Amino acid sequence: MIEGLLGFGAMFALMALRVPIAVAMGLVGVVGLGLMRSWPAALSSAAQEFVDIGSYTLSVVPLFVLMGNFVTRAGMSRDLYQAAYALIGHRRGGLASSTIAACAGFGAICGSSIATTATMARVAMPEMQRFHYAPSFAAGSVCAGATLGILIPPSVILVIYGIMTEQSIGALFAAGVIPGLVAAGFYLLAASWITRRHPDWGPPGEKASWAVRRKALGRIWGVLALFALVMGGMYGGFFTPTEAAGVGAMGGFVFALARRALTWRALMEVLGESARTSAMLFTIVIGASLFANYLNFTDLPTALRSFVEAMDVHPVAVIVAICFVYVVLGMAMESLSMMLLTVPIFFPLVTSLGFDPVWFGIIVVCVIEISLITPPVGMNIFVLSSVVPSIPTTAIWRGVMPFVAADVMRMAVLIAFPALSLWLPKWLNL
Amino acid sequence: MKRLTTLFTAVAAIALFAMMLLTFADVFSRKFLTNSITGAVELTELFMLVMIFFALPLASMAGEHIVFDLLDKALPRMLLRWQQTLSHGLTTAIFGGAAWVVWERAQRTAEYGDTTSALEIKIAPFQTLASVMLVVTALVHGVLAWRAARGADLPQHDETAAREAS
Amino acid sequence: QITLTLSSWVPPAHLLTRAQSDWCGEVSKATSGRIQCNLLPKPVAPAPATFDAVRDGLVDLSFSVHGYTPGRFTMGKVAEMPFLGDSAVATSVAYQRIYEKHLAKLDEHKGMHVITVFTHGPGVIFNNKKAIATLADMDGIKFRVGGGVVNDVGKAIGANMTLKPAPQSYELMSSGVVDGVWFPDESIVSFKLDKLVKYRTAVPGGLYNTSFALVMNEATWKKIPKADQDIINKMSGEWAARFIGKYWDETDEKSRQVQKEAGVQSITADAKFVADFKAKTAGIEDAWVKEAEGKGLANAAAVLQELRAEIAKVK
Ligand code: NA
Ligand code: NA
Repeated sequence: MIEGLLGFGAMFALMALRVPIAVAMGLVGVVGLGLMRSWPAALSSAAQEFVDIGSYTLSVVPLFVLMGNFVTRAGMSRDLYQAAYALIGHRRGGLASSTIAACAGFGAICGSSIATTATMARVAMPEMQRFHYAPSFAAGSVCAGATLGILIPPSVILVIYGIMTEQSIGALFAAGVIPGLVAAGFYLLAASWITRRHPDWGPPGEKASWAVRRKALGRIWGVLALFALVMGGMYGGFFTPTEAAGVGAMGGFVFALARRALTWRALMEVLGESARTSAMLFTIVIGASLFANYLNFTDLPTALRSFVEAMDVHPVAVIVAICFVYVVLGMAMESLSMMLLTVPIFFPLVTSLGFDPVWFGIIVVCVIEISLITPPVGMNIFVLSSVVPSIPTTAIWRGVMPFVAADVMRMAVLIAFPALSLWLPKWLNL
Repeated sequence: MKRLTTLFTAVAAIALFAMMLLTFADVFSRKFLTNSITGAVELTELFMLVMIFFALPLASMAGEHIVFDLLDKALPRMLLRWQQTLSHGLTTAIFGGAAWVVWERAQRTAEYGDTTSALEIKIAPFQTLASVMLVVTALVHGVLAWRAARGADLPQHDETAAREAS
Repeated sequence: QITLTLSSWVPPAHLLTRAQSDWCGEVSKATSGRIQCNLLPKPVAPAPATFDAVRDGLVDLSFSVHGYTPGRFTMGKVAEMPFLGDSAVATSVAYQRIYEKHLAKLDEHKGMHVITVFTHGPGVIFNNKKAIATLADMDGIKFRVGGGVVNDVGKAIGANMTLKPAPQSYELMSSGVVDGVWFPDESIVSFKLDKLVKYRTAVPGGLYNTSFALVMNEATWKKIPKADQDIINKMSGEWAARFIGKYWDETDEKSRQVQKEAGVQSITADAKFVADFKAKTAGIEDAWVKEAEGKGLANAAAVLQELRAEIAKVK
């Protein structure tokens, strides 16, 4: 127990030194293992983690990242936004609602919420600024809406959760669909609540004629086709979830080509950016695995389990407590490393209490979504402010708060009704 | 320098693109030509190694590794400079150490004669390559540490590093 | 007192995890608690890296499959040939005897103290399309297989194979990417495939097998006092092979019960099937003989013959 906590302490100290998070985790892991076991063993396990990163199951990560970058390049976020705008943009707060709806749609073809933020910020922010939306409200709706990118399948975070806990990725993806729609619904409610209280924050946009609507809706067939290709192929027996990423990337590539969005240079940029992002993600995976190797030799997970058993509280209380811990951790921690560090500790506890591991995956993704938009460390906020530097970070923080409240309510619903997550995978026999 | 970055980008890009084509071709061939492509899994794994380790120094160069940078605003410039020097210095040592252990592992893999299962491709050269690229990554951080010590490119808070974590 | 740290890359309830822990428990009992065992909650390394993890002292005791690191272990393939035997106890014990007599001296387990080598139960054909009674019935059925000899077997008979890691079997079958698997009975339950397969074809002697070793870190072994080493030696080799083999045979049997309850139709391949199969796979044995002789095993063909003879003898 003590060793485990010391390890966490050392890691946070290194992080405060501005050492890359991946390096901090890896260093503490190796040193801890060296002290507890032996130095040759610790160094050998470090070497192993580096060479094992070239694994078939992990190949799904760069391929989903690539797919997201291709569809971004193909301008599919713009199509989605325009379709949503044509339908609901003329209502009060309609542009914010359109943003949320377009985010949900984009989430269905992109596995990363950061990529969703970056692209939706470019598409939706200028429109909302043109109609004089309150900057905080506009920014809040983009940041929050974009978190749907990792709940609605495909999702890089769900994939990594699935690999870590040996759960079926197909089941996890299916489990994310209904909670993703529920989440989008809660966000829309939050947006309408805000504009009811402050009508001047979200004035209505232009009303589109039916002809315009039909045309705008006609443009999103690409998104639907790509979603159908990936999900249909996966659940229809054409390919595995691991292969779905490659096929999806190929689909994104074809669309980007067909829309003449790819020059040689642009292709190289997309590939290079995806490769760099993957390298960065995998460095975190290596660092976190080394840290987890070290935790494996401490008794932290078992100690936590006996502690909880001794408390003898209702299992749901344990889940609520875990969510609370996550929300607090998620304020200051980067999301992927948070998941990689905590799931090895919480997962055995949660499953021993009889909860469904797939359902817990959805809960984990939901708390990670919250961590992406809570200050001070919220990746979506950082990305948005890098795309639209004119909005002060504090305004964005204020803007996301109602959506964080919506997230908390959604969490309560998902905890109270596990069937919302588990019905679809069950129906699909996964 | 520029040429080297272009080369690394090209290698990583080709490896990633090849992974994509290979997966697609494998699915296609299984579905319509009744047979999987021999060695698709192991080729994917080798492409992964190439892509990751060629892209790694590029990610370091672009400052894309995620750091906890909340204190940047609060710290005085002087302290920030030392903090930067120290963290890049430490990162240099870590990647250097990683290069060394992976090198040793590559030697042993060569000694074992490990190959992939279907195509029987030797694995050791790929691990050696990973080790070399880890040296390059360490060098990148070494240069960054040196620059930080001289007060060059200290972090601004509105750093636009594309952090595409989740 | 010495505490052995154990790691297992299969789930806690899997027979291999239990067999390993129980074996260590027996050692602990026999040494009056001077040797203790501590099973880690999580595996320290994936299966292919486990031998290295033991060699480097990350853990003291663990097991792995020789074929997971192609190119490294040639000798283990002798125990993976088609039609070796119907019980894991028999093939394991005989394999261990042959190992001791002929293979150990080639020192393929550098830096590790080998407790025992062993195999799983006979490899069986499973699928969800049709009952397979002849070789021709396999046409048009896509199988997931692992690497190593089983891959060579698949190639030799011209089966439509997808080479994917074993834990992906459920995903592959449930999504319809493959129609069947080649596995020992045990794996049908441990990979939760019992609801997915519909037809089972048992092949007398087994379609293929897999070679494993249970190994201890060399330095840890040297730390153990001579008296306790002697005790462990008595519980190693054939004793341990039989010990683990029993777990495998029992689990295979249980799995067959589960399959029956799940309504899996089972048939046994007839003599013609076996003869056709043998004709097509004869080259695999020859290839191994050549490879093994290249690596310094004199008279490899005789060793393989001896293994078959030995399996027939084991009770
Ligand atoms: Na998504
Ligand atoms: Na946060």
